[in-house]
Amino acid sequence: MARLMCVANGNNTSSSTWAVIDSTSYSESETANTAMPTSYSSSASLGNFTPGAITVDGIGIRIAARTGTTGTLSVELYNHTGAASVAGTEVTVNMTDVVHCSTTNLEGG
Amino acid sequence: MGFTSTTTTVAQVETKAISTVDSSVQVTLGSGVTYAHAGTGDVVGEVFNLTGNVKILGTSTSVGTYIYADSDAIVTLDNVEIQYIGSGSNTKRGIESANLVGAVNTFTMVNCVVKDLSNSSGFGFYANTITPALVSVTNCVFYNTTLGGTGIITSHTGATAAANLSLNDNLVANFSIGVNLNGLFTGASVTANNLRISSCSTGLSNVSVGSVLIYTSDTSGHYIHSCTSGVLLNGGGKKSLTSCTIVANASSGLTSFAGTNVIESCNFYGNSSAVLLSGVSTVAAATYFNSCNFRSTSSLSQTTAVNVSTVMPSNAYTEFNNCNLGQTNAHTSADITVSFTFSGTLIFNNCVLASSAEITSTAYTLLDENGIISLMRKDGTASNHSAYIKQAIVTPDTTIYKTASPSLRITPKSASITASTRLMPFRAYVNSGQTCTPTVYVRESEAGDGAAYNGNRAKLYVKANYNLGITSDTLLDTATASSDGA
Amino acid sequence: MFFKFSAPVTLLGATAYVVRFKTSSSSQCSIFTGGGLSTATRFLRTTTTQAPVAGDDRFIMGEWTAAATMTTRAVTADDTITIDYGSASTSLVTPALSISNGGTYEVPTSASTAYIQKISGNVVVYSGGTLKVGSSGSRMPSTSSLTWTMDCASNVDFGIRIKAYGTFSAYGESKQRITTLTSNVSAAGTIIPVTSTTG
Repeated sequence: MARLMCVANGNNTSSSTWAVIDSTSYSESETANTAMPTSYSSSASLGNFTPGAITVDGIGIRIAARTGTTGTLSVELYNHTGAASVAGTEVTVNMTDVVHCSTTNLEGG
Repeated sequence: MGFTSTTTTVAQVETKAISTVDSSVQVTLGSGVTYAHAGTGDVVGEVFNLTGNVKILGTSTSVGTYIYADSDAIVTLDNVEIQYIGSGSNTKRGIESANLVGAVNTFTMVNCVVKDLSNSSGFGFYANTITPALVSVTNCVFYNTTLGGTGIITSHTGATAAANLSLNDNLVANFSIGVNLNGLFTGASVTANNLRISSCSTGLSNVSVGSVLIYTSDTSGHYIHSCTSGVLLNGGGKKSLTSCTIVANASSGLTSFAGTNVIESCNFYGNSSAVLLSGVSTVAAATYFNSCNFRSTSSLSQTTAVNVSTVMPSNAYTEFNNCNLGQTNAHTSADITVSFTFSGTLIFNNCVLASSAEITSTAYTLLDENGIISLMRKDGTASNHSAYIKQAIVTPDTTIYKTASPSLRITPKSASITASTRLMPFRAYVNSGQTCTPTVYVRESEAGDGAAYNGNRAKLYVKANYNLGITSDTLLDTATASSDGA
Repeated sequence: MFFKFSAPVTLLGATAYVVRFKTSSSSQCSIFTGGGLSTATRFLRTTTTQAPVAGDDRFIMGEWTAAATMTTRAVTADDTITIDYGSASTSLVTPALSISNGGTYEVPTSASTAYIQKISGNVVVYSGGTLKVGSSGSRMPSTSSLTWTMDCASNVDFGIRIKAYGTFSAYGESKQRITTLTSNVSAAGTIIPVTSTTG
């Protein structure tokens, strides 16, 4: 059983529409939610994973609640072993780009 | 294609496959219907399309799925067939909208068919339990191959009214409860009209929810037939039914009262009993039937318009105004039936009672000290009044009177139980310090009056009035032999 | 929510990585976790492409590349043979088909086609996501059909859940749904006279 994410507009049955989500890095829960910090946390405080020599093109996260629309949100991939950010992996969006969602109905996807 | 029953046999609802659509007004089936279905007269059967080319399905008759829309989900289901759904579990009840008052997005179902609950605790459609809003379910078919579950329910308990809730023009067949309308409805934006409900154990139900004031806004134009009980009004608060046709229901057309109910311009035809008064003994009810019609059909007997069948509290009040009972096709038992001890008040104003038996001959034996059945201007005739009280019938007498017509004729029906007009006392205004001297002219009837009175002498009482220091009903005077034929 | 790199990145073998995140202002949003940031919800998408097969879970969402810059993603549900998608998880947290903001899963309405969808698992449409079958102006035509089966093992194992601000719409062929008989039909009768067959 694989987890696939759409990578291009197209037919469901087409192989070019879907790309594989790495199973090692995959983590999904709605048990709790934690406020995003205003600076990157130390890698030691975050759950690390060793996916192997794979090629990846993006990061997915689940927003629990958008409580404000000020400023930006940034995500990056960080090499915990080498203690360095992985070049070309930081993406920054506006808080206004984040969908309206709350923890009441868990509609953030 | 489905066909509703058109008799009092609930199980005559059936489905058959279409062979051809012959024209805009005719269809031919692949095989014939099992039962006869009426298309003319007082009961006209519905025909409903159970097929859509967009289908959402569970797995089987016992393993189903669900659709749940959170508040502010944007949902439109248009000509969709949904089969094998529902359970008693929260958020998995069937098709459910959790839209709350304050939501900005709509939940809409139109022209869909929802069939075959996979669990008897399931629901065809379930509206939010707090305050539904912006929900529209219209012109849909809800059908169960096997009777059970609930077709449509709104069961909200919030103190805030529902808003923009529309449950119009749906057909519901073969559920334990066809449509269950509860909760706080108010205002023109909430409507549940023109529902066609058949072949259910209870067709239309309204059950009290906690202590919240419940008001059902205009629910009108329903056609409720071939259920065991057509309508159940057992919820607190005020409810109204307008312009409904309630026919061919196996047990009763309308039953089990509580709260305040206004039944306006409704027809009750061919039900076993049209109206069954069987309220909870401790729950008061005031019910008004205005301009309603009650009768048998040419093929279905209705035994009675109203049947007092179980205990009713002394403050239960039922009033019929400008109604027709037993016209065209008479009731087979009596227009009014009292079959249980009755403590309440039953009033008929300007009603026509056309059956050969207007009221159960032994009705007066079942009335207790607080029970009264009053018929005023019966059959539309001026001065044609009568009152049934405990063991007596009271009528105006325009033939025998003392000074001016009419007098009050009291006909006792028991040799051992005193007939008393305590429920219809005469009232006199008395200023402080003033003395009131009531005078009553009493005549004991002779054989020429219809029957000779052979009971005890009539007595005059003043009723207890603690404001005047009268702590019990007090005897003032007793008639003498001179009242014989006086 | 998916953040797409400017170009794919090849990771190192035997190397541990973490996903880090931050906001420029405090108290702007929270992220789902299992109980703390060390268990934050996250995944990496590889560049390995493949068609879905039975048992696969699927995610559809827009791709954010920069501020105010999202590429929407739409998948056309063109199946005409039965494939039982989904890992059969009964949890809404791990749906078989997840449609998030910027994502659309659409069943087409081509003529003379019998579309099939079979899913073992929940279908969850999150805020900003769209699940659709045709539209009011492009209904499923009479020559076509869609049969969408939620392949539950026990009653209500799975369902379709539409979250706040998620969209689910479906438009079948318009039919006369309810009518009445216009004359009596006897038992065994096959000719059915009705008020209208066409609405």
